[in-house]
Amino acid sequence: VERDLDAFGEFVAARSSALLRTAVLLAGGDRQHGEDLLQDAFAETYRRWNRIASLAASEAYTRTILVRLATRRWRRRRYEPRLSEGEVEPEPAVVADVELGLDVERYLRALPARQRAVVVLRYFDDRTEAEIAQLLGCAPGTVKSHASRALATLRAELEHTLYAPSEAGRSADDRQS
Amino acid sequence: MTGNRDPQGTETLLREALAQETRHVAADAAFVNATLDHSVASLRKTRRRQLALTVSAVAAVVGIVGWQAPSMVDNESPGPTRHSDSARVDDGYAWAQSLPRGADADVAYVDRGTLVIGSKKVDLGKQESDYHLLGSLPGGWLAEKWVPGAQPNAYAVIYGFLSTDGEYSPYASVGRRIDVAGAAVSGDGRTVAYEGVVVRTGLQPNGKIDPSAAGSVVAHLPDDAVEIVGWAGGFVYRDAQDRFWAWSPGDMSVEQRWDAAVPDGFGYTRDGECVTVSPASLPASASVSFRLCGLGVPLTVSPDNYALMSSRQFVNLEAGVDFLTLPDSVDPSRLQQRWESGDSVILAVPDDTVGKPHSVVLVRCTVSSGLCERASNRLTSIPMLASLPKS
Repeated sequence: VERDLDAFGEFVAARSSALLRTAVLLAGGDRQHGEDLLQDAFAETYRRWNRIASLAASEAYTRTILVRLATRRWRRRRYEPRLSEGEVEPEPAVVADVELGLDVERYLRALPARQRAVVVLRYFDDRTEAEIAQLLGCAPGTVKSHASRALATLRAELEHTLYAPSEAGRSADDRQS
Repeated sequence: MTGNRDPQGTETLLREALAQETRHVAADAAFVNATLDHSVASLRKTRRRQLALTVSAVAAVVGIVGWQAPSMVDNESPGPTRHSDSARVDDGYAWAQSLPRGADADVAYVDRGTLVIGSKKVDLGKQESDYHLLGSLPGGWLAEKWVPGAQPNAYAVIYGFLSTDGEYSPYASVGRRIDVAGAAVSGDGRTVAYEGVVVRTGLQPNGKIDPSAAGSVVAHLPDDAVEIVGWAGGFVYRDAQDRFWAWSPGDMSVEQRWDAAVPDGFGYTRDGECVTVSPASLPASASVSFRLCGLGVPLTVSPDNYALMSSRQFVNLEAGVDFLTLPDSVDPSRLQQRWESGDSVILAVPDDTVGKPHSVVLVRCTVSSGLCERASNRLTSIPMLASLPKS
């Protein structure tokens, strides 16, 4: 007997776009990977559908699973064999954000998985430190630490983007004028 | 200069950039339909697996009855649990709560303004600051003190010595590089490394720390360091290319042939399903390594190299056999771990129930017996665990 597939379908249809945006960022801007993560998170939610009391709780649960899958998968990826000599690493599909001076994909992919998750949850999802700590299963202080490091990286990235020689580059003075 | 960009400006820019990055991302009908198909298929697959597990669990219980240890402490609880007979529990926190209560964990942490040292508690007073214990020293710990700033989400991080009496003595903040993550204590307890500097702890010949003699900078970490990952005869750090190096003040850095680091100065290389775990090697250090297969990701090695905990199981390195397999619902790579001794490790198992406030319970798993027990009551925060002070 399938569990209330209609209600689950309505939930997926209503919340997919919002959750997909979070998933894509958690995947470092990789749309395909983000979709895979979200589908797995929805599947896990469906497995527990009868135990989840409300629509709001369903979304919170899906988001929790999504974050955990994202941090887990990226951790695994990191341990994949390195490229052998002579192999060329594929170029990521990076689109530099000239207007804001921040290459978001490059920045997110440079971050360790849990730092990336903290950045996405705090600055995109507007979650509190306490909520993020609960989502990641860590101490609130660890969230602070991750955020602090991620912002330090961001400042370095902004230095790189604004001051590295580039065809399309503009100086900070140009941007401010 | 961008480097001087104010914190709120940087955060605002980040918010705008993330919103802009996803402004065209939307799920279409094809994605929704594929998701529903995937969810239904996953549920059917899970049911088949559960059915198979039920059959194997019955067989396992028959095999376990012969050796199970008698109940230890709590008359209301079942006896210490061998992990393999609780593999069907689908909630890690429920598993932890179901274990019998043993002695308090011999670890230290700060929980809501209280310094907990094993079974002893020290009130740190009503203050907004938060402390993280980073490494044990004689009579206390290298600790971070987080002081809220005037702006929301802004904190000052001050490194220093937190004594077992709850007295905090900050180190000087000279020459720091806040882009260097992590911290470590040297093996002799005389120096600590954090934020790109190595400073004296003030350890005296009588074996006690004198905070007034602490904090002077001994050396700066090499410029390429981005994270301090431990101590193994020298400080071990990671550079921006994810390479690992061992280094002592005044010496050249020695590259470690690791794919990833494990706390306490260990690292490993991966070869298919196998890993070779080894401590950092310095020219003067002895070389010892363990090659293990089918383990998943190594997470921590116990003192004296007695046991290893991986993302899948615990291994007794002396005997070369696994002694514990955690329930499927417990993902060790997500849990804080801290060894009490070479024979027992403390795990912080959080309550994952969505919408509930923080809570965590500490669990002790013992190598020699292969048994686990609860080592705390329910904690209403998720503290950072540290070892007890060095004697």
